[in-house]
Amino acid sequence: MNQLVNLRCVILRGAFPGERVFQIVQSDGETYEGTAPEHYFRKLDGGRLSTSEPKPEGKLNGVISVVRLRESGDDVRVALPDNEAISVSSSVIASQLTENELVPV
Amino acid sequence: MYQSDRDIQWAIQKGLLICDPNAKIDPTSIDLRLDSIDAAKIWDVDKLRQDNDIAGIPEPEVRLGEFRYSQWSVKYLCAPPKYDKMPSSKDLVCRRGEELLVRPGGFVLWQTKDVIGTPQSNPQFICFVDGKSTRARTGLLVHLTAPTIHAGWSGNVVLEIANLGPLTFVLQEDDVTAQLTVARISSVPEHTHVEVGSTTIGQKDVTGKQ
Repeated sequence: MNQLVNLRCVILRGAFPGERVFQIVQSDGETYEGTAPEHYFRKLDGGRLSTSEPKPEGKLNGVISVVRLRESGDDVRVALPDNEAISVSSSVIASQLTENELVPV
Repeated sequence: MYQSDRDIQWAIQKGLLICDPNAKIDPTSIDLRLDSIDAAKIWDVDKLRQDNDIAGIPEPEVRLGEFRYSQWSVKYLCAPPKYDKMPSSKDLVCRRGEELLVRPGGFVLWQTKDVIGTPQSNPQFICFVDGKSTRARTGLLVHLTAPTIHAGWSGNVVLEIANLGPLTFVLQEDDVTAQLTVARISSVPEHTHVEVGSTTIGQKDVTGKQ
């Protein structure tokens, strides 16, 4: 079964109130940028983003919930909420999620 | 198989379908409401035209094969302009108080108030955004090209709304312009997402520039 994990990312405001832009460093050093609904993100202290976070033009460090597909050495293939899949270093993974943490309110 | 109202209610209660428990559920669909008018956006064509002008591109062009939504949305989506009484106004979408006017040919993106979808973990359903048949007769086009809410995704859906008819639409918060149908998938997907290579669009090298 695929596992849900938190990946460290940079979070920026999106165009819509329920949307955020995220940036993740891939295992090849390139940065992937995508968009996902707000509830997939958490701040580094585990708290949810408020509607005003991050501030306009601002960014903050946080985590995004993704699906771990498979691993090969230090490389981890993950599926992102924007329907894409990328490879990241295992060091980018912040934590594994429990089922209770996954249901958006 | 498409789900009936009973099956939809069951799936919501079991946490297999993410949806406001107070949402209006029809015999085989769930109504989707428009969020506040602040969640309505249009493409800033003038800004794109200016940027393209500088780059020597004569039109507000978008190269769809290289389109990066995350970058474009932040740069070129903006709030609709205030209402202009002049009937010859070039603004096909404009805001009049808490209402949005969408003139013939107008196009607007508007987030739904409802968060809908399926859990990331072991999704068993897939959802489709569909129009409302009677409203469609006015020329309203809602979310037609990409109606699928993939298994494992949830969130506020950004509706693509176009006016193909001869009338001016007046839209406001809580209006129901679309509905959601739900189908059970034959098994939990092995790969829920598209695999992409290192040359995929949407990537950029900003290492060291953040």
